[in-house]
Amino acid sequence: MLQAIHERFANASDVKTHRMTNSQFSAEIAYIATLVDESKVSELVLIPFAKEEVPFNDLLSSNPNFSKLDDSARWTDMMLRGFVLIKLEATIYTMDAARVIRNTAPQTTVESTIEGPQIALSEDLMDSINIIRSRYASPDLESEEFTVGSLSKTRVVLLYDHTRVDPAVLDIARLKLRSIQTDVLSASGELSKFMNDNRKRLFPVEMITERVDRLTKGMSKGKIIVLMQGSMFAILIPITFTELMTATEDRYESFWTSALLLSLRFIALFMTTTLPALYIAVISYNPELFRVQLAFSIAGSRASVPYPSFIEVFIMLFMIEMLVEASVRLPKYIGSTATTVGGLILGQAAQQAGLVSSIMIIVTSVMAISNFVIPVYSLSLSVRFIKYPLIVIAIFFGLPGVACGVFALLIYLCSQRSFGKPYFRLVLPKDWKDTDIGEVKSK
Amino acid sequence: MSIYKISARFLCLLLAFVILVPTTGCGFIDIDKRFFVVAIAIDKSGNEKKPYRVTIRLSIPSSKTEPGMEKSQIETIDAKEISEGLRILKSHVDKEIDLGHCKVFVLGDELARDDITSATEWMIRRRDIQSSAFVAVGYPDGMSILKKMPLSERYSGNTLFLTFGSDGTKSSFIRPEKLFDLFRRINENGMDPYLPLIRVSKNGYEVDQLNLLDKKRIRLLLSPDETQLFNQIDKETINSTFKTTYKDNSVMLAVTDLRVQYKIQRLPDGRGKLSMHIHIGGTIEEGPSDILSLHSEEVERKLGQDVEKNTIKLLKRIQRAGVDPLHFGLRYRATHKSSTAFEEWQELYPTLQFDVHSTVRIQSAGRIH
Amino acid sequence: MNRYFYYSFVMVAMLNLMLFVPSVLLSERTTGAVSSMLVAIVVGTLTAYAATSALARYPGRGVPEILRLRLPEWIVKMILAIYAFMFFFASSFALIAFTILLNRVLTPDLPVWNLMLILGVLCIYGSTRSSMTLLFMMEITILLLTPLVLFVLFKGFRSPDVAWNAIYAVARYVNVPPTLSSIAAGTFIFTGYTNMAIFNRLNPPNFRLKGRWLIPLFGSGILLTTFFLPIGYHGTMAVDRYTYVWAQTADSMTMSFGFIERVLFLFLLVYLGLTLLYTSVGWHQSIEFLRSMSKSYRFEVDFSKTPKANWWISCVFFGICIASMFVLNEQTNQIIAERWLIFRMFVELATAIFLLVLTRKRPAADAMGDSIGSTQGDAMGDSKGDSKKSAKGEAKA
Repeated sequence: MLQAIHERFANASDVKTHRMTNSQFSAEIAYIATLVDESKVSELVLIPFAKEEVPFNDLLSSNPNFSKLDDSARWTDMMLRGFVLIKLEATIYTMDAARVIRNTAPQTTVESTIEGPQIALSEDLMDSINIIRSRYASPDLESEEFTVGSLSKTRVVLLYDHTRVDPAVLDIARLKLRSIQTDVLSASGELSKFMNDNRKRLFPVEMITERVDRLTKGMSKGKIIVLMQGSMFAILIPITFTELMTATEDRYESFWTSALLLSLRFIALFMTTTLPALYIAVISYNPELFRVQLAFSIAGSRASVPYPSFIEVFIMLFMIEMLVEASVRLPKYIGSTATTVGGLILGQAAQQAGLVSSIMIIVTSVMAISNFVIPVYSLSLSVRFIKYPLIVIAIFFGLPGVACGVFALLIYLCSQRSFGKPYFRLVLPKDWKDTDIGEVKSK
Repeated sequence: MSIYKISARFLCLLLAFVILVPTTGCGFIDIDKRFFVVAIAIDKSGNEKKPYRVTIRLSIPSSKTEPGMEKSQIETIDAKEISEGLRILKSHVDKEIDLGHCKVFVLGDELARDDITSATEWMIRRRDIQSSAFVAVGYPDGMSILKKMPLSERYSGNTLFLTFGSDGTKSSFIRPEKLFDLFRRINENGMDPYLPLIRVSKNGYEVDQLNLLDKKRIRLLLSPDETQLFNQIDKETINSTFKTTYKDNSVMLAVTDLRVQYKIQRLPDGRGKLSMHIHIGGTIEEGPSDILSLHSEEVERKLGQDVEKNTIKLLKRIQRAGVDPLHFGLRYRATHKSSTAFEEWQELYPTLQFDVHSTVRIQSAGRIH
Repeated sequence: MNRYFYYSFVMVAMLNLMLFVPSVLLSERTTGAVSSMLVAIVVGTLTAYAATSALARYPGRGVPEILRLRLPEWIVKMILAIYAFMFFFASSFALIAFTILLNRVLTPDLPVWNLMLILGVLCIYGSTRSSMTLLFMMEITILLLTPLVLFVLFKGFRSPDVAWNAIYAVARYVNVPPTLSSIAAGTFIFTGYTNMAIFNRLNPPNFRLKGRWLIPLFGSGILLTTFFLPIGYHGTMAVDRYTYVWAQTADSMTMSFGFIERVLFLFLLVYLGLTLLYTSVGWHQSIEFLRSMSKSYRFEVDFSKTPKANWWISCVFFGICIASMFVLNEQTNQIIAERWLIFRMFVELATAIFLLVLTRKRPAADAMGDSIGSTQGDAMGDSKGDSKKSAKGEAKA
């Protein structure tokens, strides 16, 4: 039996198998350690077997915890559901020892959804694998363990579906994990930085997520999950830009709803990056862009502002960035107060004092809110950064400058690769195995 | 080593910045440091040395926008050239003059009766003037149009923009003329320009007449009714009306469906003939009671006769003035052998016969019979 | 992949305005442009068919590799140098023309070379990327911009300001015999296939170009629009008087309910994107041709670290552009464009025929099998290649 199980779970390091003998019997036992409550196993199987108070075959046939399993095809299936397989004299028994930690697992807090699953990964590696395994009950799931950090000795686990994963990506991921040299590894973000070639990247090329549904869905599409001990965030590779813009909920809603939401997010992305730059470019270089009525009302509201448009933009951006930072660092309950005080009162007062125009207040708030629409935090941080280069270009080159800046960003995005795979691409082949451009390479 | 590399990169960036920064700045003018010209009037000054009187209307933006609260500044100057006048006017104001939002050009009546070509050429050449700006003739002169501040205006110049633009009023008496169209008509063989006439009224402007021009100057001024008929024939404007009298009652038909088809033929005797068919459908807005059940056919015939009569009268009037704003000439070129068509047309037009037919169908009589 | 070919085709077809195609055609509107366009549709389509079917026999190889198969080295070097020049010239010319236009219309207060600086730097950045990146770039730009262009054209044709009689009047000159410069201008629309010279390297071994009937359809649509819509807006006479007739046409349209009222700005932004893309792609092709002149050069379709040579060549291109900015103006540009369009047509015709003759000898299937195992091309991952081949085999069976 053990041979067969080893074959079926070729690379899964958490499959545990024992061969034990006492005076009477020789038994084999197999289970997946991460899915099983091991104390239960030892209490119900190992100790009785060793103590020999009752003949072990009687125990198996009399105790309702054990049941016979004749169909060998169901072995993997049972094991993946947290059952322990015991083989005694050519008979296979199963015992339910599944460890249920659904009540203790933390709730999703970073990427919250309304109707999606609410359980996040756990900081304990075993618990996290348990959650993933229980949602992805397939014998094809394989895991490889690595140790990173010369002092922290952090356990890092690669999880993937070996029938679907792209071997090229897997090789890169293994190589990257083996070559990490650091003392202490303490967070997934740090790990993802180590796994990158270019540490000055503007955009994340891997997804850091706490959502299990994202991970299992990704795995079914051939992606690799990197889990580490001590962090409730997993890394998903390789990914595309569009996936960073998708919330998990999009898959649960009807096509039109999710299409609307996705396009809404892309519009928000465009606005949050370009609005301040466009404000400067239009106000200071090409006010004829707007229709005349709008131009006049902007001119009217700016009439009392004493300094050039870009200083006005910088004041407001500085204020809004402070507010965002403050509300992240403060405890939850004070956070909302800070936002109210800052956002409402400061904005209103600044406008009345003639420091900024009312249109600028609108621009800033739209920009800030649009930024929060982006579902993945690391992307939302990158997006917060890239508006500043655009503002600088807008100051010097006006409207064509902004357009060029956006174009440069597009080139940059297109030139990115996520673990050797295209990162920013509109139309993807359905499967990595389909033919694609650029496959014939020179040696 | 890596520090050197980084600092070299940084130096490169710094250098690029130092090179780039001084090149800019001249274009950077904030919106509140600009004076937007909302309308320009070009008149004849009567002075031989400085023949043009250029008047600009500048908008003074204010943070409160209420009807009638708008403020404008009018600046006027006599100059030898229009562009020179504008350049001198720049020194009269404290902010940069911006023509980007100038959407209305008013040519003085006197200028339009003399020669509009150089003024048009100037407008089309200036790159900051929109090609879709509106051009009109101001009566008695352009300056007085600009000086009028209509009551309901929220933004300076807005009344004129809305009058001519398609998102405001849609009157069948107003025929806006855009700059590029004026330029096209001035240059085109077989298509002559026209310009609407603006007059000052008590609370605003009156725009209900049309000047027909040859390539250079005004040849004919259409009355309001003729202007409406002109629009109906040329643009098939619905939301317009046709009038007639029936048994001493005046009958008014509001047009909901209008189709005009015409054909130009060269008769064997060398003369030309234009046969036009006008199909009108509409509802009665004014008329005797029981009009639909009792007198429908009669009224339809009467309306048709009147339309035919008025149309022929209008076409003949235009023909006598020697202009072709309805681009019959272009149609002739489009339907006849091309290389000599225009010369043929020039021979034909003065003696062209008009043959107008119409069918009128009253579709309903409104909410009462 | 089929769609990338069509992106390139659409890009070049839409960019014709920057190479003064409408100016050349409109200046001859009564002296043969209409009939020349009909000839150009036929000639252009045939050239495109010839060149694409020649290239389709060697998927995974660019023109340099194909030439090396049959020709002595010195001829190859010479031809590659000519191609490199052609691509460099066309794309730089478009960039300069657009920079001047943008400067005239949008930022008249800034000096011209200031704009050139930022556009050129961007083109350096774009052209030094890998071929794969440029294809992705092309895809996203074309897919974003084409709806806007179609919208503007739709808006343009639906407008009551269009004088259809003027269009008919000009169309009546169809019986005037065609002229060389008009045919040359018209065929430019169809030359999107030239970018395949390098991008053919990226085509997978089983590549088949489908839907080539789109070439005459789309090409003639663009060509007729390019020529006739300005006539509709500016009449038969005034249309000749504008320097940038399409910018003027766009300025004559308004979107009365749009956020941006003037179509001109939309037009400029669309063409900013198109020109940058075209120039980046053109310079990239030119760089690849130059580097392919060395026999030891092994191309890479995708790289993470940009080769130094790319940067240097691109910077030289940029320098030449900046320098020529001080010499060129609208008038000289138009004359140069007219001459260049004619020269280009002959080079492309010759290339297409030459390639067709060169590749005619081998049947398609043979070529396909050969390219996988050849010295230049090799399937990337062996397991991947195998699985794919077997999958295709099953599908065929």
